[in-house]
Amino acid sequence: MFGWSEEEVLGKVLPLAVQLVSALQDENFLRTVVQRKNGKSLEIDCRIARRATGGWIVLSTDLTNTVASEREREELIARDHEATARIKAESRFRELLEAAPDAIIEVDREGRIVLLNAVTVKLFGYTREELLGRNVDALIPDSARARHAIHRANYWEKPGTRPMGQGLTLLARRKDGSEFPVEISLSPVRSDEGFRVTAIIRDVTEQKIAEEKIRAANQQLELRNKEVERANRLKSEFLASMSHELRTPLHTIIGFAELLAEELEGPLNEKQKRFLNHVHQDSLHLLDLINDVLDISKIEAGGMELHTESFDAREVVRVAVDSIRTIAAAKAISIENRVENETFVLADRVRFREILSNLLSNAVKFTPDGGRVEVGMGTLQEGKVVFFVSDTGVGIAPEDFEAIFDKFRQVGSATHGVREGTGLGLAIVKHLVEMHGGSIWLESTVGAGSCFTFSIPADRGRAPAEPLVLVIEDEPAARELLSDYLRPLGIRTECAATAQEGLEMALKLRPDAITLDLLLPGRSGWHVLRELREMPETSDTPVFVISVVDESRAAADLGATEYLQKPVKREALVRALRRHAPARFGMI
Amino acid sequence: MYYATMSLKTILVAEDRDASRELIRTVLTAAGYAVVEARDGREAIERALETPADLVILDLYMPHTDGFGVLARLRDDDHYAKVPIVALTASAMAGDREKAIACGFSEYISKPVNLTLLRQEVGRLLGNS
Repeated sequence: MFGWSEEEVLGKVLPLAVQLVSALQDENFLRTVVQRKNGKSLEIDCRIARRATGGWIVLSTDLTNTVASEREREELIARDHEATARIKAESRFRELLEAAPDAIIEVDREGRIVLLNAVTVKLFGYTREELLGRNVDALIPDSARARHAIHRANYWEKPGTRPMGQGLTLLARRKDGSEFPVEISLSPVRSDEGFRVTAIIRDVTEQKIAEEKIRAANQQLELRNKEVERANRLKSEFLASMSHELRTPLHTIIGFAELLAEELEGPLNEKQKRFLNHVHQDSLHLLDLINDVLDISKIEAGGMELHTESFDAREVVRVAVDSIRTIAAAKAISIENRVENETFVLADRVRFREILSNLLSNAVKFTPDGGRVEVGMGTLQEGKVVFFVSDTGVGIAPEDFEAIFDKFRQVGSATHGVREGTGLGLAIVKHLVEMHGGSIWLESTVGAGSCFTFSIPADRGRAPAEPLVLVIEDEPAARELLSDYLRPLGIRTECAATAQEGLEMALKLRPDAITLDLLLPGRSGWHVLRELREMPETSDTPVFVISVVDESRAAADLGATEYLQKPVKREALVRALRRHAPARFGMI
Repeated sequence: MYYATMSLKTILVAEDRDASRELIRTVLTAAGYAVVEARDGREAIERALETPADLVILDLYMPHTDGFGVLARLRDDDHYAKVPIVALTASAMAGDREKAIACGFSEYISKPVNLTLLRQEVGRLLGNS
């Protein structure tokens, strides 16, 4: 009918067929004639379909009724398969095209739209037919059209995949003339019909709105930050000048009170001295209040910086304890300082002292005459040193444990008439401890006393290692028992099962104390004891002899520090360690 | 008067508040020092240059020239380059002390001043503690 050769027909576009069968549906049958090799024509039925990119394609041929040789038929079938594969690929492409969330168009060199997907129709408001063959300029706002023509011309100079108008906000134009923001990505395509360019067009209206919102929010935030910064700065300045203004008159009040009390300007009678003392004491108290208020304000304004350094807490504790002694002595309160070992902490020295001074002064304040205040430390816990200040004071009821750390709170019933202070001391202490990364807690019994415990980061590099006990014992169960006793107290244990091993480890590890079982395989425990005493490295190490039989006398003769009878009780062991090596075990 | 005037160590006290100045003067005079007073920074510089003092106590906040200004001027002087100059201030913010020492003050005493401490510091700085 059309007279095409088979090469021309199968799997190929039929440009003429577009005109000839334009009345046909998207897919239809057509009887056509192909030229046989021998010159005779062959009539075949083919199924043709409209191509996604325009034109028509032969999908398959029906060879059942053709008069062809077997070979010719096979060839035709092979080509037919090839064509089917191509059309499958094409329909897959079509599916992808339609599944894309963005508008996709293909434009030829003249700017005519030759391919588009459903999103394009939806986005721009044109029908598919209106767009096919139309110049792409229709989709571009009037304001950008002239520029676009130049860009399009330039694109052909250097075709490549790239976003269009990078860094610019691109606008596209709908059929109704309205405009919307888009992002466009361009890529060149070489097709049978020559060079074309594919444009992927994304509607970014939502994105732009979101971006605008974020930008506005950021601007707000920045503004707010500046305000906060300014307010903070003003607050700091106010604090500094307020503190200065309050301290200036106090300086002369306190100074002249002291001067008069020194009686340099003449003697005072008892009443005058007493009155003067009231002035002096209350002005000093006023100074404390000002300092506390200043401290808490600084902490709350975030204006307090820690000057962290590594120092021996023992020294600071000593200074803090010494400075409270006079006040304590006036109430006949004894103060015991049990912080006797070198203990390096990482803290702000001034603030660490402030923590201690506050806790100590509270302890003295709330402890009745003749009471006792104790400062001590516990073992290392999770890299922190634990300190405590305990007293035999009025105590605090459990329901007040939280409130006591609040600002301006003195737990009324518990203060028993002691009302001096701002009620800021413990709030400051808690803040300071927490700024150091530590924590503070409280144990108390009303009427019996309180114990405030706080933790401060240890200087791990310089922290003395946990105390070490060498356990020389051949029975695994007994070894384990002793280790279990000591480990929860922060004491490390190393174990040796024989006399020889015990001696070697004692020399190598230099333990702080040794427990020695008398019945050992090989040489006896007595032998070990004698050798330990003879070696200069271990001659002073406390050795606790442990045995089932009472050998206390012999043990003492051979230089054992103490004799403990099996089964050893935890209490007995701990007591022995504390008594004979207080420097290392005093705080357990 | 037990002291011969010539042997008295002279201390210049610059302080704008009368009460404070009188306090410091009284304490120092009673301790056996000759005291020269100045009411502001400008006067402090004048007095200092007129009468070479053995020690200078400067309030940090004074009219005309503040304590830092006076310090800078005096440290330029051959005599005062080696004389102890003490900052006296009611300011109690963190870093104030460090700032003063870094600027060249020999010592920093905060108000309210402890009289015993004041006497000790002055004695120590004059080398006769």
